Amino acid sequence: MFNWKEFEKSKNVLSMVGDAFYHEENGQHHVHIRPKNLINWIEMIRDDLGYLTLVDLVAVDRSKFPSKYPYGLELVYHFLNMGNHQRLNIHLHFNEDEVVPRINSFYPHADWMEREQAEMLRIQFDSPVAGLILPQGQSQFPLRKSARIGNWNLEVPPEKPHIRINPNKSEAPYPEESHVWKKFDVFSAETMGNFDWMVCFDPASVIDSKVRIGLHHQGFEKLLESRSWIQVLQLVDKINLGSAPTYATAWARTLEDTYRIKIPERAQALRIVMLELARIAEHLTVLAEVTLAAQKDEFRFFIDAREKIYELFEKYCGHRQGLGLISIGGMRDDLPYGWIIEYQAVNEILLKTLKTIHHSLIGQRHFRAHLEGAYVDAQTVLQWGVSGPTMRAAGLNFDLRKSQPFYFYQDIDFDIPVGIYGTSYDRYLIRLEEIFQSLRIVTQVIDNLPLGEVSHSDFGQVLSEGKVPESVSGWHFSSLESSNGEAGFFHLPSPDFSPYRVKIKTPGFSLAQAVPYFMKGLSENQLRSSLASLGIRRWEIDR
Amino acid sequence: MILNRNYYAKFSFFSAWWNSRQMKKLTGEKIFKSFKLHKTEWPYKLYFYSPRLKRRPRFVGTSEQLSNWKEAILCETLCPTHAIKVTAEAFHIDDRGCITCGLCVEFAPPGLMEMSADSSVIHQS
Ligand code: SF4
Repeated sequence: MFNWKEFEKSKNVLSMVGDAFYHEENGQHHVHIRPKNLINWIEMIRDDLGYLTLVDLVAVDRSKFPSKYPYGLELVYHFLNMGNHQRLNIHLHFNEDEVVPRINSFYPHADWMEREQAEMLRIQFDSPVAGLILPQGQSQFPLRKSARIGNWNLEVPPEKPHIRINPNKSEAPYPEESHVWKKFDVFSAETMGNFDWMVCFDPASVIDSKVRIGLHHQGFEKLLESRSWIQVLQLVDKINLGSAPTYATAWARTLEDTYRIKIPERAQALRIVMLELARIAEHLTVLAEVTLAAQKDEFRFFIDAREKIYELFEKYCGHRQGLGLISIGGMRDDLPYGWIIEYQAVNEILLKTLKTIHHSLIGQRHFRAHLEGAYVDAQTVLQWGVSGPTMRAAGLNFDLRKSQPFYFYQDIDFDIPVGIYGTSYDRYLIRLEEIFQSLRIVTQVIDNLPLGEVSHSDFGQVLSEGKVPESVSGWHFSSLESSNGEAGFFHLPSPDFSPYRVKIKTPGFSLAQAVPYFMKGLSENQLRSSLASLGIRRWEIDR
Repeated sequence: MILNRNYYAKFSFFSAWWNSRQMKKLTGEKIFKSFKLHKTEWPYKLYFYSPRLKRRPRFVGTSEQLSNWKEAILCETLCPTHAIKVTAEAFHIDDRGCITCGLCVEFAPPGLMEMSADSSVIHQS
C-alpha cells in the first residue's frame, strides 16, 4: 500500500540527481529534464529504482502561451513502481527542431505510444517511426493547437496492385510453403470489430500475427479540448459504454484530486457501489463473449444476469448503462426509495445462478479445450505493460484498489483472485471470482451506507469565482482499477475551465499491442475465445 | 487469494451429469421467472423506464427571455453535443443530438428549461 515514508525516501533519491528540476505534487514525483539526459534517466529509474511499468506517455503542444513557456513541446512519461507504489512523471522539454531518443528498447510497450504521439504532434524521434492510427499519406498533425478539424488534403500515393503468384506461399519472414497468412478484418467474428488482424499459421497453430488499429479513430481527445470540464464528464461515458460510470468517476476524481476537493462520505460510498456494479456488468459481458465463442448456450444466462445489473442502473439514473451518474464533487442524485431492496434481490439471484452456470460450463470438456491456450507468463505481462485481470491471471498480485486505495476501499474486506497458469481459462475464472468479490464489496458498503448529502457545491464555487488554487501548477494523472485494467486521465488544465490537453489511459490500448505475443501457439478455433477473454473494447483502442 | 484448485481438476462423469441437470432446472420455469427479459416482453408490454429517460429537455421560458441574449444562449454553450440552437425567434433542440444529460436544465436560470414528460425520446408502439 502507498505510504508517505516510502515517498519521502524516493523523493530524497530523486532530488539528489543533477541536471534535473524536481518537484512533488499530489503524491507523485515530477522531474523536468532535457532530451540529452533522457537515456541516462531511463536506465537509472528502470535498473536502480525499479520503475518497471511505463503507464502512459503524453505529448503536448505548449505553443499557445509562448511567453509563459519557452519550449514548444513537452513529453511526459508516467512510470509506476509496483514494489513501493510510487508514481514518477518525467517531463521532457524540447523545441520543435530537437531530436528525441526513443525508449522502446527499454520499455517495449512504449513503441505504440511513441508512434501515436509522433504522428499526432510531429515529434522527431532518433529512428524513423511508422504511422499507427491516422490514414496513410496524412500531412496534418491533429493535436497541434494550430490544426483545424475538417477539409484535410489526403495525398495518398497510388498503390500498385499486389499480385500473389502462389497464394499459399507467404511473405517474409515466414517464406515456407506450409506457412499461411490469414486475414481477419474488422467485420469478422474473431476480432469482434476491434482491429484488422493478420495471422500466420504453420498450418495448424499460430506463429505470428500483426495488428492494425485506427479503424475507429474519431479524434476524441481533440474534441475534449474544446469542451468544458462538466461537458467532458458527460462525453467520457462513451469510451466504454458497457461500464459507463468507470470513466466518469475517473475524470471526476482527476479534477477533485487536482483541486483538493473533498466529496461527502455518502457520495464516496455510492461511487464505490456504482464502480463495482459497472465492473460486474463488464465482466458478465466478457464471460458471455467467451462462452459464445466456445459455442455454448450458457452465454444467454450471463446476458440475462447483466440485464439485472442494468436494471439497477436504470432505476437509479434512467439510463441502462449508468450514464450521467456522476457529477463533479459528488453524485447527481441520491438513491431512490426501494433501490436497496432491489439490489438485494439481484444479489441473491446472481449468487444462486452464476455458480450453477459456472459448474455446468467447466464440467464440459469442449469448453475447457477452447480455453486451454493463450498461455501468458508474468514476464511477458510486465514487458507489455498490461494490467487488470490479464495481469492477475499470470500470477501478479497487483490491484489498484489494494495498492493505492481511494474512497473506502481500505476499510472493506475483499480478496484479489490470482491465477496460476495464465491461460484464458485462468482469465475466465478470475473474472468470475471478481464478480463475487464485487458483490461482497457492494453488500458491505450498502450495509454501512453513510448518511448525509451526496454532493458538495465546492466545485461550483471554484468555477463561478474563477478561483484556482495557486499550488495547482499543471499535470495530474489519476487512475482507478477498471474491469479490464488501469484506466485514468492525464490532465493539463487551462485557465478557461477546459482541458488544455487530456490523454485517456485505457487498458485496451496496451492489450491490443500485446495481442501478437499472447496468442502464439493457438489453433484457429481457439482464437475467438482467447481474444474475448482479454476484454478489448474498440473505443479504448482508438480514442 | 489463489483460485480454487478444484476448478483445474477433471470433473467426474457423475458430477458433470449432476451439473447439467442443475442447469436444466435453471432453464425450467421455476428459476427462469426471475430472469424476465424485456426483450421477450417488449412488443406486448412496455418496460418501465425511470423519469429521466422518459423526459427530454424543453424550453418553457417566455419570448422576452428568449430575446434576452445572455440567458438563452447559456443553454447553447452548455450543451456538450451542440444539440441546441438559439435564434431570436425560436429555441430548437435536436433530438438526434441530445443525450439527455440534463446539463441545460440543471445550469440554466430557473424558469427557462424543464424536463418535460413528453416521451418522444422512446418511440412507443
Ligand atoms: S439534455 Fe444535454 S444533450 Fe440534451 S439538449 Fe440539454 S444539454 Fe444538450
